[in-house]
Amino acid sequence: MNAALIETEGLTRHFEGHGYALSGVSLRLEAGATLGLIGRNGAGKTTLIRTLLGLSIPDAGSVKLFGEDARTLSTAAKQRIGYVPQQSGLPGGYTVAGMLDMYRGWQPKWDQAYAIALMERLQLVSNQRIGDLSVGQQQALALVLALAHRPDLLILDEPVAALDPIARRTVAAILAEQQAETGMSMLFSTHILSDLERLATHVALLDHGSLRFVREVDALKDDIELWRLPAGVAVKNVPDFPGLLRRISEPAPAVLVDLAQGASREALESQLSGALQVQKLTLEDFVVESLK
Amino acid sequence: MPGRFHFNPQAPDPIYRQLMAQVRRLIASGQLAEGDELPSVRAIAAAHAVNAMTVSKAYAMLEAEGVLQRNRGAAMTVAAAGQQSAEPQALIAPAIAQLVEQARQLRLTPEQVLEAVAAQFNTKNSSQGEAE
Repeated sequence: MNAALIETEGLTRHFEGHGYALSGVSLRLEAGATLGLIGRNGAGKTTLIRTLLGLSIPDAGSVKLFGEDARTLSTAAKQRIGYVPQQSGLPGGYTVAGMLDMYRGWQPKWDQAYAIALMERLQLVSNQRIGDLSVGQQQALALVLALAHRPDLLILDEPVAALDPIARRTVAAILAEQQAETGMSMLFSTHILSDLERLATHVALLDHGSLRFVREVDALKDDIELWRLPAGVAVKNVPDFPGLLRRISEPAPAVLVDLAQGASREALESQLSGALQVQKLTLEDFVVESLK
Repeated sequence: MPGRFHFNPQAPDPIYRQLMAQVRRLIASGQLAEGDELPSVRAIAAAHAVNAMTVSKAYAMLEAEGVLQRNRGAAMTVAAAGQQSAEPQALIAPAIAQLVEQARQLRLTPEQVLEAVAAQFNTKNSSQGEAE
């Protein structure tokens, strides 16, 4: 059996005076899957990503990448990873071409023709100084540097935050192509849910350092529903039932349910003796409801 | 050809089901006929910036339903049975189910709903007639 690309157990990280940045985070990323990591600012997304990469040391818990302990990762395993940090941190004095040359020296599987094709699609010019690039262009360059060796696992921290909508779509298309061609897996954090819904097979919600859920995007959309209660029924009068996630009183009395956990509309309708009005939820609606 | 499809990632319907519905609609409307080739998974993924696994899943489910046929080393094609399974009545059934549900909640009778549907048809017909 192939090892999961990422496997964490009980990751915990405590910052003096700031509480827990991570609290018991256990997750797996299987080959071919793409996980979108969402959560409010300060929820722990960047700390989690940095901990996965061994850039931040957890107080407790473990990280395995390709089945190896992340703290003592082999060079061969490191070369299977691409990483785009939130701030590119690239040296401003170098040119785009100079940076490409440097990475080419580090990565045995570097594909220069592919790097140049990506640069052109992202409208990067090889003799430009990195210091003269906009934040968005620097992010685009960081993406080229992370992709040109065709990694098996790409980790991106807010990859498109500084990009305009056109560049964002180009980046999404590049990532989708790479997924289709090589079966590359990804883990990325984002606030932009439409990107997540295009590219991710799974979504994880991080809240105050804890994982609230990890689910398949398709299943989430198929299985989560909002049922508005019949007129005159107060939400506190709804009995507990399998698949009930939450009772909602504002703006209108309703229940949030999970069909996969056995929520039955017929059963509740007969208990309440009235018809429920079914509303499908978008991922954004569900995330907002989950964080209330 | 991949440009025929349109995806709204933020719709409540998952992307694989949006693709399945669009393939069925293209067949029902005669824009895709038996034996016609579908774009490759890679072409759709790249053109629309969607995950290839999502596209594969939609194709696999349409294949399981007999709508599409997988051909070794070549493009997926519309199956013979695909044409029949994409009956227009079957395609409009979900919208009708939704209409009936809302009508029940509003306590409308079937007669009232049928009357309103017929009236809507007439306004649509007459406005199309004027346009021609």
